[in-house]
Amino acid sequence: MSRTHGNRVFRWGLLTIPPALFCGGLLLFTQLVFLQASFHADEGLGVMTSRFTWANYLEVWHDPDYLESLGLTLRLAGVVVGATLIMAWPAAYLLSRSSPRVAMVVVAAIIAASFVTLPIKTLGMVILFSADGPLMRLLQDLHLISARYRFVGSFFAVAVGYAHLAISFMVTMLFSVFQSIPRRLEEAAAIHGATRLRVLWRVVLPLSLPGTVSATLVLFNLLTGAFVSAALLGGGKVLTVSLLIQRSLILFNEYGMAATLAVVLLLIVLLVNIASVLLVARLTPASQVIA
Amino acid sequence: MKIGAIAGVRARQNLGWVWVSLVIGFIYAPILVVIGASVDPGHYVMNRAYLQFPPQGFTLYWYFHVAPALWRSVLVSVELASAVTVGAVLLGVPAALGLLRGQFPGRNAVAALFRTPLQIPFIVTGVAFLQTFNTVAAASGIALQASFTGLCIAHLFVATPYVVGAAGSALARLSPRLDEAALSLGASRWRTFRRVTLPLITPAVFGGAMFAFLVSFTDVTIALFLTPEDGVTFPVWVYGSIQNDLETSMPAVSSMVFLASGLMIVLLQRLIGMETVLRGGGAKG
Amino acid sequence: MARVALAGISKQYRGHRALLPTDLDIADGEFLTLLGPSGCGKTTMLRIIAGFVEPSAGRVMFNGEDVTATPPNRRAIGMVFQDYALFPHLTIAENIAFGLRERAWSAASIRTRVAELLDLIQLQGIAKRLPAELSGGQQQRVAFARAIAHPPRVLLMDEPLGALDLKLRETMQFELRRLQRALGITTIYVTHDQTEAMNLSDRIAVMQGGRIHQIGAPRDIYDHPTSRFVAGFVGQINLLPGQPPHDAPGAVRAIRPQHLSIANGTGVPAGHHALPARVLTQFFTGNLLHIQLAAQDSVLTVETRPAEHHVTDGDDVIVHWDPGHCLILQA
Repeated sequence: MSRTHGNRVFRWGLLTIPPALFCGGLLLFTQLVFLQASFHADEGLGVMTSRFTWANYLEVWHDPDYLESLGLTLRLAGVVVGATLIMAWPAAYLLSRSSPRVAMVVVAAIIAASFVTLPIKTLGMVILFSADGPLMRLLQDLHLISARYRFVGSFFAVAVGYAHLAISFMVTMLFSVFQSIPRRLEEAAAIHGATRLRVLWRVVLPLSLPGTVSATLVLFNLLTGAFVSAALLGGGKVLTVSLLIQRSLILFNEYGMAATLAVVLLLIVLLVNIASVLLVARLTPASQVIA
Repeated sequence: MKIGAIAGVRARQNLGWVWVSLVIGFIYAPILVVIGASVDPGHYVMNRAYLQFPPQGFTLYWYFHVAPALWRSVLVSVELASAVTVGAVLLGVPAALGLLRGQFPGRNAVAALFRTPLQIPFIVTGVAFLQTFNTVAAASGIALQASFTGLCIAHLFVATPYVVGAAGSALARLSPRLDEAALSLGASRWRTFRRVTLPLITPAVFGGAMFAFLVSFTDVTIALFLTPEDGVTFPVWVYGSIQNDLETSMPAVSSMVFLASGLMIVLLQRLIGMETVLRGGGAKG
Repeated sequence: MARVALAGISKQYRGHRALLPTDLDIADGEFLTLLGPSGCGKTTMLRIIAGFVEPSAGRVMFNGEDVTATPPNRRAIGMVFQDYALFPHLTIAENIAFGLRERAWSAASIRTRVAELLDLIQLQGIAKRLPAELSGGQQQRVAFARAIAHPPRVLLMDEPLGALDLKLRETMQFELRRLQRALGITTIYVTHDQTEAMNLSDRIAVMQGGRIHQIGAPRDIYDHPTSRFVAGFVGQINLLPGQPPHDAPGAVRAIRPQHLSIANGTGVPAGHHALPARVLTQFFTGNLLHIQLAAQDSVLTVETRPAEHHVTDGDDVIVHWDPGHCLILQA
């Protein structure tokens, strides 16, 4: 499309300036402040020393509690992502290949559920899984367990909480990915004699790979930073990095350490993002040729 | 096809739907539990409220006897989310217009800038904003860290990208010929914008605005760090209640909120279609 | 109504010359077509006249008034686009009335005018519908009505019939011509379809590579093309084998397919030139028969009526013509 007269054209670009200044300014300012705070040691009661130091980072590197928390966080995220992928992939595929009306209703219902604030859903889980709750009573009645098990406060509980968050996200993301693969391709493969399984393996899987990888890594980032589920279902025993950050800040007023942990979290997110971009770039060319 | 093969296909399809139902069931179980608990008369053990499921009776009592503090928190959340929505639209629509129709160097970088807030974990955003507000307070005496305004600013930060994305998508889909047609008919640039562009992007902007509303309304993580002194938001209230004292009217209020969110989603879908909703209003690009 | 004049108009993009310096004069009430293949610059020229593209050099004048610096919304033009560009959120009546509302017509006069126009385009009764509910042909007529609602000085049309199927296109061509003659608005039309150009225009400007090769009435362009490009683009042309004429080195002799004949038993008429040829293939199009022949390393096409010639593929024949019908064409 040709440009319109230069001297008369309305400079649309100018409109971007106020919002860009607001968002960009906030982004820059907040990131700088907390980045800077991470390089200051805490003296207690919310006071930080004024010298620049690597002490916080060294402490994170050497303190086994911090490292354990990091490991726990990554393990949680990894396990949940894996389990969610297995659960969501077939469901999303099936939905994408069913009638549009059915798919629309189901996906809309899933999205509606994902907009319910997390504490409410966690409340439901707490009620459901509590020691005197229906699940425990049921399991006991079926003689599957001998004594009531305290669900809240275990790795498993937090994982279920995470999974709940993750599965809505994953199903909707994968649904989009599968929708973008034309059914014609699968039909063409079937005409050539491929069984359902082979169609999935040789057509659907490769074409959906970039989108799946991308969604998986976004989910991983999401779970690494997840806070509410861990806080409410962890019972103070499952200490993810996000919980440590909150405690440092709210409980101990250690602004420096909280900032340091946040930087560590951010670095993980950044690394995963870079990996995502590289991986998706390597996986995409084939799918673009076909689609 | 042999009978056996057809039966095999049918069986596989049924199995598939069982799977989907399990997934839906898993997603909705906690919500249904909450709705179920909301009609339970409730019982107290040693003065501590217990919420239970399945309900031991049926009553709508709790729907009409909501703890005042809880109601207030819902109002605070609605007020906050509304302010954030208005702000996000005022910031996001011009931003999208500038990005889609402007020609300036670094346009891609600025577009990426608007997507960045969603890539930072909310916990990091919460910490960063709290510390920033503390610094500002120390330097200038303006206290933003436990204020409605401060929380509003932080929510604006993460909600605006949704409006930018939604408006941007809608603008990208408009044919440039429409503007040219309007100009050829004698309309000035402003009249063209008002009579042609704006009406055509309004549904999408509305959708983005709803996303912004929901993001602000449901946020816990950021709100926890920046809780205003004079008003706790609804999700933070529920959060605190779960950790301390369970409040019996909570499931009732939660059910009502869930219903309202559901209606919003249906409205969203009618306005901007499923595609755009799936793409997160266009924000995740 | 206006005379349109272009003086030295050119357009240069980074690394690409869209229009070479061009002068053009269009009379008041004239229907001029810019005809040419994709990329020849015809759309660029139209958009410069409309004001959507700023020329790199030159002036655009309406009735002697320099409008080069005037924005499109103040040039009093009407424009019809290939994709109609009807406002999807407005009814047909609101679409047609759009320009009238911009020019502060009273509600009563708007109503009258819209009714008038719907009569003109023979689409009464659809005033309250939305564009999406109409067919392509109907949308095109509405787009036309909208463009002339507030009578423009110049009407500009950018391949408006391109999206319609053949039969509809032919009908619409007659409609457009009839309406334009009745209204007398100066019209500049862009198309790549030479039949359309010849049906509609008072004059045709044949363009290629950013410049006008030839401009003239359809008859003139067809009977007296000045270049190979024009001869081949407007109608079909056969390049005759043989030496270039001694008074025009670098030129070729050419002839239209309908001026070639295949000799039957009576032989070649006196004064005609002739060549031996072999029949390659034939195309039957109902009223006409196109016979492709191979003659002296060239492929010639003969256009004739099916009743007049009966040949079979592979036959050896004599093709002949009256040298008076020969055209001398520069490259």
